[in-house]
Amino acid sequence: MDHDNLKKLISPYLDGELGEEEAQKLKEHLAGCPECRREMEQMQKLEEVMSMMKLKSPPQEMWDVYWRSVYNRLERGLGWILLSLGAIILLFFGAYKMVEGIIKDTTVPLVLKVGLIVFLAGIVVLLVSIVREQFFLRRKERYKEIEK
Amino acid sequence: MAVELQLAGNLSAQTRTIKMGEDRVLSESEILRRVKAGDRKAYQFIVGKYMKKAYFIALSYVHNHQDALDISQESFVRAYRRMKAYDPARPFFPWLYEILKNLSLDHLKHRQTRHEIPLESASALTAAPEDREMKAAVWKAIHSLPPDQKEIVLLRYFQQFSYKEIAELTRKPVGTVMSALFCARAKLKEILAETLGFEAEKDKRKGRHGP
Repeated sequence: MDHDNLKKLISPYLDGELGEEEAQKLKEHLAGCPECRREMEQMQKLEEVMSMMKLKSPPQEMWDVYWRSVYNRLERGLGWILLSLGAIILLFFGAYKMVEGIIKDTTVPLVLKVGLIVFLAGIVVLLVSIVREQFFLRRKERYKEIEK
Repeated sequence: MAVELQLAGNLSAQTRTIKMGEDRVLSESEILRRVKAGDRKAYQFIVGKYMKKAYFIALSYVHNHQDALDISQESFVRAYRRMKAYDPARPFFPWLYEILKNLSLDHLKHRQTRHEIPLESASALTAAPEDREMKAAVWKAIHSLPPDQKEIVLLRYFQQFSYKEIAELTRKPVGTVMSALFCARAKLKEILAETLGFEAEKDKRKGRHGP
């Protein structure tokens, strides 16, 4: 193994990830190579500093209530779905009743009735388009995940 | 009859037990099969097993306790909702990790556009006043690495994962992990030369060879 490849072994050596044979080879090389010895010293210094980098531990209570929070989020997800579904049904029913009333009302001018129908048709087209886009995006996302 | 349910971790040698009203020992893949069938008690066990790892990985990315808690919990929620796509024969944690990492990166992206709390603050680290500045410099150096190297450095130094574990999580061969760490260390050494006192050594050497 040449100098450059042996130098690359210093990093896994410090991690304790080298096999005995490779570790032995590296040690032999270090004895006769001042450049690699210097590299080793610098790497050790870096390791010393890096090993001081410790993340703060959160209070124990956080772990005690962790599952509860996850569970609540799961429940809340279902709550949101039901809430949105109910709201949509109510909204559609209300809108239907209102439109029905206006269309059946003989005192309302025809222009207003036509305008209302065109307006509603526009909303339906936009809604369908948004739903289709969302569905398409989600499918694409799923493919992205598989690719990775 | 409530007998212990025992499970050996894929990523840690540690084993934990939980009472599940079973009279036999279940493997993790069996527990996950139950989760897939909608068993929340089984999922509680899985969350308990991986919550610390998930929290600290998120914390190493976002450096903020509240965000790390939020992201790690959200990743468990999303994992549960996507259970249909999960294959219980495969280890769970790499799958969760993918979700967790993407949530953390999305969060950072949003934070950048909103110009919130700078990453250099290093407030998620334990630090005595005298080495706060040095740690902030190291923190900044780590986050200036290319994403692939940064990911591996965070897993190695902050989670103390082995090369094999990192390879499993990042879906890369062990050799790639090894060379990425080598490159990352070389870069860190270069960026931190002054902080670590290497610059002075270099000057000394130059002086020695000079006229």
